[in-house]
Amino acid sequence: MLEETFFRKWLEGGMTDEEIAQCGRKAFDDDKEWLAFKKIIDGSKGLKLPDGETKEQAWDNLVTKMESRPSPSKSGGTIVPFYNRPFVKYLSIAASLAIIFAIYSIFFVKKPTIYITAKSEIKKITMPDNSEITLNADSRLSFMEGNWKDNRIVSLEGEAFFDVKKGTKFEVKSAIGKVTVLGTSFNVKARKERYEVSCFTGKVAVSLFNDESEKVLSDGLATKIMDQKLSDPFDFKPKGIAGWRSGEYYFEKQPLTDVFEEFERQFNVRLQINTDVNNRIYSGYFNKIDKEKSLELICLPMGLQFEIQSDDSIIIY
Amino acid sequence: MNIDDFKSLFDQYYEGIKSFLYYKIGDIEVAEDIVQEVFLKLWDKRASVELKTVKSFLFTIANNMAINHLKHRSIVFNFARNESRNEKVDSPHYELEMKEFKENLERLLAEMPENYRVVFLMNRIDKLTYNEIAERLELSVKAIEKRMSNALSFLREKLKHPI
Repeated sequence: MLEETFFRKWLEGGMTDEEIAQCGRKAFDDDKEWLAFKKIIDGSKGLKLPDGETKEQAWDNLVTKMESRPSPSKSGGTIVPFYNRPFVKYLSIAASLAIIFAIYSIFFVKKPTIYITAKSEIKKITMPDNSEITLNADSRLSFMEGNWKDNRIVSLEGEAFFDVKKGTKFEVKSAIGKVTVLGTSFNVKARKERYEVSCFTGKVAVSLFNDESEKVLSDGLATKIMDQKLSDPFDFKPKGIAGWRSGEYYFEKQPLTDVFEEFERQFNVRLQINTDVNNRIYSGYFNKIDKEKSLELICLPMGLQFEIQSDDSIIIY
Repeated sequence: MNIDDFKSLFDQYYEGIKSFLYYKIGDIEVAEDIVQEVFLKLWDKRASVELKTVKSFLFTIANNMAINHLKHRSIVFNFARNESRNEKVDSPHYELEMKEFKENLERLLAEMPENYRVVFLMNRIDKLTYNEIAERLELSVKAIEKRMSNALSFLREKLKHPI
């Protein structure tokens, strides 16, 4: 038997002492030889790692560190050298095409009209057909103005309230889903994984891009994403959903983290939260008039304290 | 990948990666620090890493981080021993001999080429089969056979001619 195969069978535990002796004698001229290997193999069997932290401790440490990490980026890591990546050559082709397309589009293609609101900014947009869109803070809306009357499609990231004049089909596309209407007023909130549509008048149809089924909302009904699907329509309070248009923010049983996020967006501040607020639910109200008062309205009922460090930095604890 | 997926990957690979790092570096505290970095890297990249390539992702990162660390370190091993004693041979003489042998082994392991050492210890300590080692290191089973045989011969030669 080859030495390597002998070792393998031995090390993987497939041999009794007798078999080892038998094969050992066959493989080596001298008994001393395989007995020396036996000493190494037996002597290294009892080794183990020095005591360190336990797996549980390691996990706890890790979780603390994870909390202070930024959210994941889609960009590749530094693991594989750049030139070794299989997609690099396709990327270079794609890049050339993109440049050609970019040059082409500068001269020949009409560009979309884009509206972007900064934090704490709200913008009212009147469309060519007099439909009105109110864009909430930290949101982005784009559409093709050229053939608007025949092709009423807008793209939305963030939150907006729509008051649509009657006409052809009107469509609002977001990353996750779309809303189709004829003429009506409704609110769309499409931020990160959240997607919520509330119908104020008329009828709207909502669907997700990854799920064909459609929810039709009549006035006073809303739907939102739950477990990757649209929920059954539920009643909503108009003031709670569209209060933002007049600088009022109502929350009913909302995750506290969402409330703080909205606060940051509306006052353009950064909240440093030094206590665990996950899984806490808030019902209440704040308005855009008074930052300190609004903080009190959120923190007081939740038993939290706050300290305003500067114009744009606040500590919650 | 959500937090639950991440936790189950952690449970599955934490020990394997920690010992892999220890075999390369020979310092348990550094190995533990690097394990944390490895999993944080996975967490940062969770949007782009696919589940089926996670294992190789983890070991590649661990390997790279260990290389970076090793650029300016020498290795000193200090293994623990399993307390499984054999009554018959548990004489003071045997104890002493084993202690001496272990110290020799630790010194020789630190001298051993890293390629051989990692393969050898993955089998001796983690009790992995050749196939499992090959999979973790992304090598052929043939290569593992070669390295293991080299590792044993290396130790054998050094023990034959103690310095």
